[in-house]
Order: sequence, then structure tokens, then C-alpha cells
Amino acid sequence: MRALLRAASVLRRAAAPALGGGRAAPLPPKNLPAVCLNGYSTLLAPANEVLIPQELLSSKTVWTPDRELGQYEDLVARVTNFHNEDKGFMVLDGDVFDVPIRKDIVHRVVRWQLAKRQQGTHSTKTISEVSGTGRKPYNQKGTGRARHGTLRGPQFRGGATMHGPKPRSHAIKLQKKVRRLGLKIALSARTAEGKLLVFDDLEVPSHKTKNIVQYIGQMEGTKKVLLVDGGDIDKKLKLATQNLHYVNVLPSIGLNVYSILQHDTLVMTRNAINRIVERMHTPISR
Amino acid sequence: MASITLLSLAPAATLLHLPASTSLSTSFVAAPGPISGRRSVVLRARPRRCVTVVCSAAAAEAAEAEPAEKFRLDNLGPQKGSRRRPKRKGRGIAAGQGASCGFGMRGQKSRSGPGVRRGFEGGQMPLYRRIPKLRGIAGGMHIGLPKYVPFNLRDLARGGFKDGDEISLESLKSRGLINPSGRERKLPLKILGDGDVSVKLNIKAGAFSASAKEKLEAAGCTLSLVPKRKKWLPQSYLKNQARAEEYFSKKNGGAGESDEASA
Repeated sequence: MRALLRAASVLRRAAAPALGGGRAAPLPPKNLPAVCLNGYSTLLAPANEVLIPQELLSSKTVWTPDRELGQYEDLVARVTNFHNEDKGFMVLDGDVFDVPIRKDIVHRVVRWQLAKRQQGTHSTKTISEVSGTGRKPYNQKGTGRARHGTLRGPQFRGGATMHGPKPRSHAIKLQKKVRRLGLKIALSARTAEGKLLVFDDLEVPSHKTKNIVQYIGQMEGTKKVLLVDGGDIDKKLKLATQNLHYVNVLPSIGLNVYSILQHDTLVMTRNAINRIVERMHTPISR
Repeated sequence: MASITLLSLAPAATLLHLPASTSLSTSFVAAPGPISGRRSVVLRARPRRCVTVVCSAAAAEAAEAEPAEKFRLDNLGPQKGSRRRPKRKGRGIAAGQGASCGFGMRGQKSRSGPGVRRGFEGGQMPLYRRIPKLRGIAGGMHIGLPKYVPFNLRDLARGGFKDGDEISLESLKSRGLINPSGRERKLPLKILGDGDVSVKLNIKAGAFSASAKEKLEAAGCTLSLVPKRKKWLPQSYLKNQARAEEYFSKKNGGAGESDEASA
């Protein structure tokens, strides 16, 4: 947080001449302060506060991340809550939230999840299960027609289905390391997009849905939200969100890649992040 | 044009909003709360880079120019080069798998149905018949069959035996201490040494283990070895054995007499 303090002092020095007297001369270019940014934090001044003269601001585009992605560096995230209040900061482990983005790994994990959850209860009848007799329809010779042994063959009306679907499991195998890497990549992608919000807790005043509607409405650029809590879900939060199709709640034990990709914003509590990091650091038994 | 560069805009999640009512120094000092985490904060130093102060209006304009592609379910795919279409056999001669699908024209392996059975080596003696079979349990089950009905001294307490009682296959069966069934009905009894004995008993068994014999003799029990059941032999075999014994005894007797005569 030294960068913030230095930025504050620079702002104070810049604001003093403007407040003191008339128009201040711009600073010489070689005396421009360059602040080392050791962390990952920002400052946004409201438009109505004219602290810096307009001619001192640069006009370049600013939507470029101020860090290189995928370097396994620890990140410092701002902790907030539903009311967008400041609740301090939290360190996100770099080996979980700053993993290089690989689309193919996430694709494999999603395919594994969807195949695993497929029910597989489809069924067709074989020639021994189709209702009907196995009698020879007519004599083998002397009729001039093609020879047939049964009228339940696949080419007949009411016949059996050959090689049709039968109840089975559609689960495919995926290594544990790949599944874990998929979750890390999904979390890193949301972090890189700026769509990972860290909350102090998910406390709601009552079980009324309008509270959640108001909170989600105040979030900008958010259509679908996934709330992740550490342990058990609060009953009030469960009742408040169960009638909203764009808000889903998960305990941290149930966090998975498919759910993360289904929602554009991921909200996690401190407890949830600690549990996820601990789970990602547990050695894989094999 | 000269400009002051301070901080740059990061994603919206980490924005710090300055309340208008609070003064700058107060908000800056109070804003950084305690940094919590599982490990000590080691924020790696990076090369110096310029930062820019942004107003809300500029941020709003910048937000509209969001990156085009995000991580969603509809833009996933495998790594390029990791998937290959399967061969379409029998679908034309252009790729070489048209007419005979790679099976050639003639031969046993070009015929339908399963080919040669597993382990077949073209008529020569296959490997599993060239090598002799294993002995022991791997070579059959008879070597692992039990030879005795075991009974431990520890189980004597359940029988409630007193001094002078007799222990044998029949008495143990009648008291329900052992329950041999199947092939075990023909096996003799063997006393094992687990446990202790404190009464004087008359024990008749087919065998005794060393520790059991030691403990039983120390307690003053009487041990009797029941002879093994005779093996059935055909009559002709017995007749031949008798004839052979008679012949050899006569021969040995004749040798004895000649020795006495010479003396």
C-alpha cells in the first residue's frame, strides 16, 4: 500500500497550488513522479471532484491490465460487501488465481462434467425383448418369397432395434490434476476479467428477495451472479435467492468450472477463498 | 503536453471510491485495512511503470470498450491439432481405405468374424503349452487342502471340562465346540497350543502341536495318539505283499542258519 500513500502525497501536492491561488504552471516533464506499483490496486476519483486540472490528465485509453497475466503472482484484492463498503484487502494466492489461461483445459473439464452428469437411462428393445412370436412366418421353400425366420427382425414393422441405445454410464475419465487445473484456470480467468468480487460475508438483513434484487441491480455490468460461501449457506440467503434465475448460491465445496462459466460474475467470501486455496494446495493422492 | 501519471485503472472489482465528504489524507490513511491471507504478504517487485489518474467519466467511457472475448461456455474448444477425424473405411478409394478397408484381398484375416483365437501361434506349440505347469497351489488346489481339524486350548474354557473328562473328536462334536462339515468330517483332530489349560484331561487326538503337548503335560493331562485310519488297498496288492514278506523272511532266516553252521 505504499503506492497508495505516495499517490496520496502526490495528489496533495498537486491539489495545493490549485486551491492556493490562481492557475498553476504545469510541472516539468522530467520531474514527473513514477510510482512503483508493487501490488494490484487502483484509484478512481469521482468526476465532480476537480482535484487535478484537466490539462494535466493524459487522454490515452486505460482499459489495459496493469499487470502481466499468468505469472503466478499473488494479488491483492479489495474486500467489500453487498453495500459496496470497504472492508480491507485480501491476498489471493498466485498459483490459484494467476494461472495462465488455457481454453482447452477448461473445455475438457466442462465436457467431463457434462458427460458425468448425463443420466443415461435411454433404452431400446432387442429382438429377444420385442413382443411377438418367433414362429417362422411361412415355409422356407415353395412360396416364391424371400426367406424369413421371424417377423421381429429390424426390417419389419414392429421389429426390434439393432445396436440401439441401452442404459449405460456416459462418464469419461479425466485426471485429477487436470480437473484441479481447470478450476484454477476458471478462477484466474474471472480474476483477470475483473469479475471476481471478494466479500467479507454474504449477510442479508432478511429473507426478502427484494434485498438481493437491489444489491444485484447496483452491480454494473452484471447479468448473472454466482455467490460462493465458505461453509453452509445461510437460510435467509437461500430463501432470498431461490426465486431469482440470475443469482445462484454455492458452498465452496461445490465450486466447479461449469458453474463458474455459466455466470459472468463470481462473488466469493473470505472464508470461501481460504477454503478453495486450501483445497487447491492439498496433495493429490494417487 | 505535460501530464502527471499516478495510478491506472484496474478491473472494476478493486476500485477504491473516495467519499466526497472525507478529506484526502484521512481517506487514504484509513482505506488500507488489515491484509489477511494464509501466508505472509510477499508482493514481488516489478519494474517501474507509469500509472494514471482516471476520472469517473473517463472510466465510464473506457468501460464501454471492454475486451471482445470472455471466458464463456460457448467459445471453448480443444487445443489445435489435438483432435483428428477418424478414418472412414469403405467410403471410396481416394484415401486408400475404399475397397478392402485395409485388409487386402485374401487370407484368413480378411474374412469376417473373429480371427484366430487368443494364444494361437499358427500351429506351433503355443507358449502356454511349451512351458511346464507350476507346482503347488498354483498348479492345483489339492496341495492347499487342510489335513486336520484344528482345536485350540483357549476354546477349552467354553466346554466346561472337569478333571478326568475325555476330549476326542466325538466329545467335542457332541458339545458343539467344533462343527466339521464336508470333507472335514474325515480329518483327524489336532490340538493346538493357543491359550492355557488348568484341568487334568484325557485327550485323544490325531496330532498335538509342540506347545500344546508341553502345556498339557505340565498340567498333568493324559495324551493319547489316535492311529491314522488305514488306507484301503486292493486284495491282490495285499496278497502280493504277504507273499513278498514270507519270501524275504525265509531268505533272511536261511542266511542266519548258515552263519550258525559255519561257526
